[in-house]
Amino acid sequence: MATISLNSPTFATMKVTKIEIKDFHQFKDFSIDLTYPKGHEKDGQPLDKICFIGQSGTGKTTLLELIPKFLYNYNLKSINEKTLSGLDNNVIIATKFGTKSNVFETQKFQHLDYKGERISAWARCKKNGEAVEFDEILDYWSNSWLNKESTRPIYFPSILNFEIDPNDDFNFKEGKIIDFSRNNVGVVWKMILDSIQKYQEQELQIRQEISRTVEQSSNNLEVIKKALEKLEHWKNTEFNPIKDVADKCLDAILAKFKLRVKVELDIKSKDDIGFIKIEDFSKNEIPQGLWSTGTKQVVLSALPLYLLKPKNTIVLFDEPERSLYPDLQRLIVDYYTSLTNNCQFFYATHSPIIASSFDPWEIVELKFNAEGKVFRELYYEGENHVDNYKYNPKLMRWDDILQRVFDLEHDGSEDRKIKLDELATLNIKFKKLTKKGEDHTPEALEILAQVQKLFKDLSVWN
Amino acid sequence: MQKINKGLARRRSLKYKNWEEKLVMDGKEHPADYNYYKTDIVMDLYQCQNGVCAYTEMYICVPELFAPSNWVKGKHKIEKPEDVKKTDHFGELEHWDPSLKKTHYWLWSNLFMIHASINGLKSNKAIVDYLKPDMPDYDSAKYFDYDEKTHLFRPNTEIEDEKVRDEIQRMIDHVLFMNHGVVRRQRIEYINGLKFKKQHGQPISVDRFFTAVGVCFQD
Repeated sequence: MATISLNSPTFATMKVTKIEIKDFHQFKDFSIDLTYPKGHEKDGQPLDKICFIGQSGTGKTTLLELIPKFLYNYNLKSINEKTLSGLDNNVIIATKFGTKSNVFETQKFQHLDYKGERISAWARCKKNGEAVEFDEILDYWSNSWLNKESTRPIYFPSILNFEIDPNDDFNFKEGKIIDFSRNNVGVVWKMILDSIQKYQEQELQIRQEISRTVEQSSNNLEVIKKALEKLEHWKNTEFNPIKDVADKCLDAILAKFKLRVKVELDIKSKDDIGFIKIEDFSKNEIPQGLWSTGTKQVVLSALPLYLLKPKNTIVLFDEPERSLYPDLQRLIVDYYTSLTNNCQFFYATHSPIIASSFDPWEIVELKFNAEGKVFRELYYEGENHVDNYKYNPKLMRWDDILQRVFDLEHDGSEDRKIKLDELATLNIKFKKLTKKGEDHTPEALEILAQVQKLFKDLSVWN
Repeated sequence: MQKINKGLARRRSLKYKNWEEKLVMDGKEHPADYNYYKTDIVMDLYQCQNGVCAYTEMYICVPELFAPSNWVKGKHKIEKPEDVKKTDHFGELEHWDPSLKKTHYWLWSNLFMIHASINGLKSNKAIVDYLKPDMPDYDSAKYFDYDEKTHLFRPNTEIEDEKVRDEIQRMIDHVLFMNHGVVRRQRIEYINGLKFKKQHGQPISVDRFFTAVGVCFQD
């Protein structure tokens, strides 16, 4: 049986605290606790972000996809008719959600009813710790929680659709979750097209007024100055949607590519706006067709978070490192968090750099046991207490993370290993010659010369 | 890979010893599913190996677990279960010669404790006979050198036969995992920690990586 539970917060929240799977594909008697450990200031509360790591095939994406399935009854790609039956009575989702005064608990699961129809059921329903009827919790979930206190969850698959299709008519106000494995990411831009157009029309109107003023009062500098001041004042006080995107969302991260959002636009109608425009620091616009994959990746994953303003919900990222240079991978976890309000993030990644953004209790490392079943490798010994964790990816070097967390045997390529072995042998030989008082012999000097060359070849080897 | 003394003088699992010796003397096969003595064997191996993995010398068992106070009349019994648990170790039983598993599963001379992860990596790969660490004439320095700068084990550079050196190198890399990245990293940190203590005049005690520490501190 799989269980996903949400813990009681001190404010509005919707965060998973536990996933249990009794028997589903590679998972058997699998259980992960997703709360902060003892000794942490949030002891027992749900984790704000979780990072699934593990060899391909260990089920990272499956875990991501079970969450919308059991919390929102939404089937992502791998949950199809063939796999659905495997979840029957095998899966329970225990959840807590709500506000400070209305904390609801329930266990959600799926089974076949007496007619043989598959239904999602809720069990062990509680309100503020007291048992309540299923109807009450369902009523709160449907009428007060979804789309009011909480926005819909968002799923970013491992392969994002980078196509920017202005004719995509996806409606973000409908649907159980926002699933970018089925919908084009670029379409979120439509959400602010109207406000951009309104802003541009106002600006155009003021500029036309200035033109008329100049035409009518070309000798009266004071009048012209006042007209220009009006434009300046309007610019300073009017909300500029594109500038807001630039300042609050994209420019800081685009600067890594020596790019920024083009704020000054020359447009006459909504159709002229098109998609967001990017320029270099010399104000040369970069046509969309020439955007690098990394630029697209940043823009198309950050824009939805900025524009959809997710709140009290769950955000799922499968392989967020795609196409990103390491220095950007280092930043994106905190960056994405900064664009949301009290959301719980789930990441599935193969990147040690992404993993280094997480505390050890936020990492769920999946491994196969001898029977081919998946288990979570615990990073703590004894009690689950912050002091008992043996690794802290936030404090480790990248190569250290690769070796200890990602289980890479060597600290470099096979060629490096061979050279290191050579170096070790030469060191040993030189030491033995030194012990015999032969450290100035031609043989010893030849060894030293080889050692020096290897030092150079191996760069900083220690 | 340190020399391991599994001789009578170090033995505490005397009940198992008598049982096993009688089976051997009578030429009987060992019952493969017989677990009555398993904890005795594991704990006695740990105390013979000083609580470290037989191959990598990684620390894998708290010493309280195999302490003399936990032995009663030749059987292991934890004196203070509130202080130490039977599971406070990371080791797994290693059968030196896997072919003996079927008939002599509990043969003392064929058993070592090694780190569970190393056991998983090693699987059933055979180790050359002359590297069996409990043989009377086994001497780590005879087969292995240790470079304290790279912290890598190497076949003894004085072994003239290149084939033997290659064989030992293969053992180091692919069977014993003495230079596995995680093992090496732990070794470097441990030895650096000891050096730091020594530099600052603090007392040092060694509870793992005995062979490497011996080389690094021999002067």
